[in-house]
Amino acid sequence: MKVQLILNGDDLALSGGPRDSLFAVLQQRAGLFPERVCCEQGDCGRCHILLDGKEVPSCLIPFFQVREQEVVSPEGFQNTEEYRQFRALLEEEGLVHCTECTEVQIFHLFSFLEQFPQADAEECRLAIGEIPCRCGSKPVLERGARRWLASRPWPVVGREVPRGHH
Amino acid sequence: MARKKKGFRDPLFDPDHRLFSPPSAECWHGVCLRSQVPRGRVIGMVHPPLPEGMRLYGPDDIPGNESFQVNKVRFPLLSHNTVHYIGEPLFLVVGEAEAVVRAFASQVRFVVVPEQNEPAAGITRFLSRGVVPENSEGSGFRVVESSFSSGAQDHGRFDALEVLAHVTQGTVAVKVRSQWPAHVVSSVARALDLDPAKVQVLATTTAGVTGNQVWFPSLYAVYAALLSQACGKPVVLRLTRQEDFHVSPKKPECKTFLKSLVASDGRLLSLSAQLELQTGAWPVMAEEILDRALVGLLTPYHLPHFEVQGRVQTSPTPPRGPVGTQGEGLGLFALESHVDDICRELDIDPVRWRQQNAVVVGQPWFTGLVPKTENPLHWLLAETSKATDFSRKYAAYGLLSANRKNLASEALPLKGIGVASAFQGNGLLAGGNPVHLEGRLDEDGQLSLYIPLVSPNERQSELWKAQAAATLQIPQTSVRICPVFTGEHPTGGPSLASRAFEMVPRLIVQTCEALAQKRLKQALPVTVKSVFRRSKTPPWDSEAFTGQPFLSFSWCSAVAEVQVIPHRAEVEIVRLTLVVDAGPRVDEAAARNALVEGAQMAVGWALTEVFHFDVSGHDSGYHRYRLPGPRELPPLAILFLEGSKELRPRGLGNLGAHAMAPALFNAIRQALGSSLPSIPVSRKMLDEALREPVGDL
Repeated sequence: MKVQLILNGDDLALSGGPRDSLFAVLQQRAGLFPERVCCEQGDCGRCHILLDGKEVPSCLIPFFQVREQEVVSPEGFQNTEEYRQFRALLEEEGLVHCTECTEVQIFHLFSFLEQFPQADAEECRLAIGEIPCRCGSKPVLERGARRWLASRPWPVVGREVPRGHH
Repeated sequence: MARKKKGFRDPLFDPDHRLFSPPSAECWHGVCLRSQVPRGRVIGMVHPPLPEGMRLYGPDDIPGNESFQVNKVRFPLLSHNTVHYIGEPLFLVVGEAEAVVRAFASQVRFVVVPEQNEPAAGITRFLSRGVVPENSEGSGFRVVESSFSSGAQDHGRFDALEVLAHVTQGTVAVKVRSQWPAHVVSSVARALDLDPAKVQVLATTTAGVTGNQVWFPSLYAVYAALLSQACGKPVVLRLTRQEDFHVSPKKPECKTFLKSLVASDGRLLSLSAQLELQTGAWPVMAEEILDRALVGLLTPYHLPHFEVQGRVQTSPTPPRGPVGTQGEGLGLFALESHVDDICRELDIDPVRWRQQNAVVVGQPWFTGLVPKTENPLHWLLAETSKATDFSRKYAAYGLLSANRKNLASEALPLKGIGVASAFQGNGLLAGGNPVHLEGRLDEDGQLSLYIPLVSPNERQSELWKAQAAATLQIPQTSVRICPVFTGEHPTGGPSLASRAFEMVPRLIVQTCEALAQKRLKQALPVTVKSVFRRSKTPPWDSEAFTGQPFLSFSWCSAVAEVQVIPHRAEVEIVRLTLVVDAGPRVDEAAARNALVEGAQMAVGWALTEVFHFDVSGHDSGYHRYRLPGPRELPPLAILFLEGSKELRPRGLGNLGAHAMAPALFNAIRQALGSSLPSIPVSRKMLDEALREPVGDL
């Protein structure tokens, strides 16, 4: 089965089986998420992507459902100016790179902050906690998120509540 | 570009060579076929027809030594006909398509006749100094007894183990995430019956927590190499996260019984303790863990008399390893919880008791040595108490607890505060392989450092570079830390217990100073090799427990404040404080990161994480195993103090884990006003404690 989609800005067709998850196809056919193991339960956050602008766990998305949709993976996000700026800010705060979670956390946190630009400190803390990891980078990410939000103008729309945003 | 060394053994052994990164389409995939029962005799295997091209690999196919060895412990790579633990690899299978290989593996069943195996030999220790009185209660003395147990904790890393092995023309290339690449080389060479010079390992970056990165990758590197030799293709052996969770090393379960004789003024007169570790089917690295646990029991306080027994128990479960602590944390947890029992019994402030009994200059330590430098515990505790208002809160919460009538019907949260002190021993007790370092200064002014220990993170590598650049007075951009590749690096490892932090910086300075002198006398390039030597202090004797156990000690004290919510039977952590003395901070952000990581590990160990080795094989609790989430992890307040005369930076990665678990446990027990037997403190345990009649507390 071939499915046409926009992956990290490129129009392409990927082939996969009817029971394949999007994560499996992106890893095996598109070479994304190299050497990454996912829980395949939607819990670990290691396979998150932006599907038409919304952050979702790709292990729980059937491959055939993404026909004609836009997919941005963490690898695609890493090529953007926003990523460089956000990462630089986190490094200023003292980010210590974790081989397991740093890239995943940056992707997840940035998409959360984009979706909920009026999130408060506690909401940021809960969002960061959605990606389980042993490393000690959470306080740095929290400080970085607060600084990032403080540096951006508030949108004029009403305040949304981010809980259960997936 | 990797350097081409004179006398370099084989041009294939270049870390940039495609041997270490073959196209994924060329790789075959290996899977372990594991026992589904904990013990017995294998009499057969039932499997569907083997798909074309796939190959089964059994113990008889191993060309070299059939056993796997870690220090003194040996066990079969693939057991011939005896099952030693549930999940033990009995056969391997390799094929072109991973999905097909996994589908085949899922249908294989071993026919096993249940049988009791001879248990592997355990390890025991018995130590005593002075005479521990049998029972001297009365006449101003008190006897306090406690028993505690702690559960097995997973390393909690999501990136499961993955190994690439490529055997070609009698040489083996292995790429693996390992903190002990030299052990991977020796293990693969033994199993394939090759000269170790024919095996080269490219070690990729490791994540901070040890456990699944010490001896475990070596075992799977052997499997991948055996399969690659059999099929003639590069082989990737990748564990699923669930598989990794079931069989990778866990922190050992620990049971402790402690009995102290204390004077009514709080002086500790004697301690007798029994400590038992559960280390699975094979006591891999158990000796180091046990000795460290006993050192943990005996180090912080002055013990005029003591009698300590340590024992390692084996069981039909996967072997354990050092996870989140090399062992001291197990002993410290029991000791610090017992100290809280003593304080409650004598109605003494726990900070004051610890200060009163901490080893001071002039008092002999348990090893018989008399410390020459002041133990920082006294003033660390004073600072901790001041920063957290400990003594006032302890007295207030104790009063509230004493006046409660019925815990379960309390509308307000039950408050508690707990303190614990801890240390981290830097360097391995047994020493491990010596650590060598090689530096080469080229004609273009580039310095290449060949360090056999894997850097824990990029920041650590940057620190190493900065240190070398400052010593040689060259730009930091001219320093290159070469990827750990056994083809070029001297032997070393494992990278445990701050070896990367304690030894490498000293070796870098030593090497760069030698290079600075040599470059004036001879033409570039110049090469210098350095080896780490222990100072002339008495060497550690693990039988007699005498000598200097570690290269150095780092100290900390921790305070945890909690609330137990009666109607939800839940613990809420209000505040965690850690006061640390580990010398000057080279990189404060990295130091804070390591302490937060350790504290999280402790919170998980004390509250949410436990791995049940279910010998029925049906339920390992994979989906119920929970790392602490944001609700359990409040911000950690960290205070660095540099009061001791030890001016060198010391390791601190395990301090948070060692101190925070007993501090939390003591805080919960104060909130409940009762003794709890074990960690993690489950909701069921809390519920039972809340329902106990108050009079019995």
